Amino acid sequence: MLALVTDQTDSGQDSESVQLPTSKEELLARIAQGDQRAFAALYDEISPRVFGLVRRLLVDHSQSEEVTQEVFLEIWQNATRYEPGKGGALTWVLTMAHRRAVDRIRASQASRNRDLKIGVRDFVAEYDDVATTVEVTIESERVKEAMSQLTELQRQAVTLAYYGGFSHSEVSEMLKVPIGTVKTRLRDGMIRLRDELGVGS
Amino acid sequence: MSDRDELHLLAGAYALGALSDSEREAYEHYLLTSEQARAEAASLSDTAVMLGLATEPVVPPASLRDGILAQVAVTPQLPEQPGPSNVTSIFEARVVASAKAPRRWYARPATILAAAAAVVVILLGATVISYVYSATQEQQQAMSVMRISAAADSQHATSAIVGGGTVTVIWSNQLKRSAVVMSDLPALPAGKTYELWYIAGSRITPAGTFMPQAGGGMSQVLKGSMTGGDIVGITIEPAGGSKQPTTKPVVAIPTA
Repeated sequence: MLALVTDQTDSGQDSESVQLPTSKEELLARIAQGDQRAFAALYDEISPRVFGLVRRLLVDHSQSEEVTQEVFLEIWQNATRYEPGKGGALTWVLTMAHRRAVDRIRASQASRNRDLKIGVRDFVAEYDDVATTVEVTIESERVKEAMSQLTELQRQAVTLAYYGGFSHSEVSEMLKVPIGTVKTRLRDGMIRLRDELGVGS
Repeated sequence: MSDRDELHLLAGAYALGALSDSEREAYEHYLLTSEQARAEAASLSDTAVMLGLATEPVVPPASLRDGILAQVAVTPQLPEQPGPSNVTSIFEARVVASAKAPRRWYARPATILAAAAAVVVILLGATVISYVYSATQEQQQAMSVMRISAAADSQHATSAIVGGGTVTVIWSNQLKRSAVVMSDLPALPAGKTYELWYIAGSRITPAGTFMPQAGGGMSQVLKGSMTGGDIVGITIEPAGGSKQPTTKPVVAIPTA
């Protein structure tokens, strides 16, 4: 996994950058040595990011707490395997958090049914709503701008997959388009977002 | 359209976590074969992280912090991945094996070198992938311990072991599972093994055997299912284990 390359507009405290290593990577190195205080410090710094993302996917508060707990225990156990050369600490953690939240959704038929009830239109509208009304972070502004460059179908497909945790076959069903079309839209959409956001590879 | 083209198209869904397990496996196999595909997968995964960063941060409740820090205090960490050093040694072994056939080596150096290069590419590819996705047996074991310690109703208790060392039992009544985390456990003479038991009054159920690892530390999930209130015991038994304990427990910890 490669590092995010952020540009000069990224002066936000939550941004990570190859040029300016934050203390998160150093904290992970100390956690890998079994340092529980470093773990507590990392938790304080990034748990709102993890919890925010997990709750965005799961909605349910107590399930979100459980998954956040799993994510941090995984950080603790796997800190020894973290390789800074393969990406920033926040990239590592959020990738893990997203995967665990998706796993939880797939494992839970109840939340599945709830999500399907919400429906596509509401779901995508809710995303737009969140993006405009919450305290706007630098990333959310940039992502919103980049999202606006996608076609309607690309945007809906990417939103349902990432923020809804839906599989591409579910996205295909929800958007009433063939699965092959969903595959290409997801890929084209992500490539477009990558280029708009200036994510280096 | 060829299969490779089909797989190539999965890059976006892969980065977004939208593939089924079998599709993800197929795509990861494909990644082993293509440098270009790995670069694309990495850049799109980083892009997905940007989507994650765009969500509103929410401070979790303080009780969650307390619970996580308490669990971390009793949860073992995974050892460092062996990683590149193994790749080098396997590669060297191949080259040495090739060099043992000097005639072929001199006769067809380009072939041998190409083959050696291919070995490196495949192994490096495998290393890259395994960094993210592999679950060695040891890791799976640790992950299971983690699941128990991550359960909402997870509890733990620590006790000294007769003969040396300490053991912490972690259990979840909801999951009906428990695990032991040992440290400074003495090695046993040849022909002996440690055995785990679930003890409920006169009903004693074997729950797996184990040998301490170098350094005396290890963790293991108990076999079978736990009933709330069971006592977790450890005895020393003849190699292979026994159906019922034949010695007095070196430790017994109630899960209540």
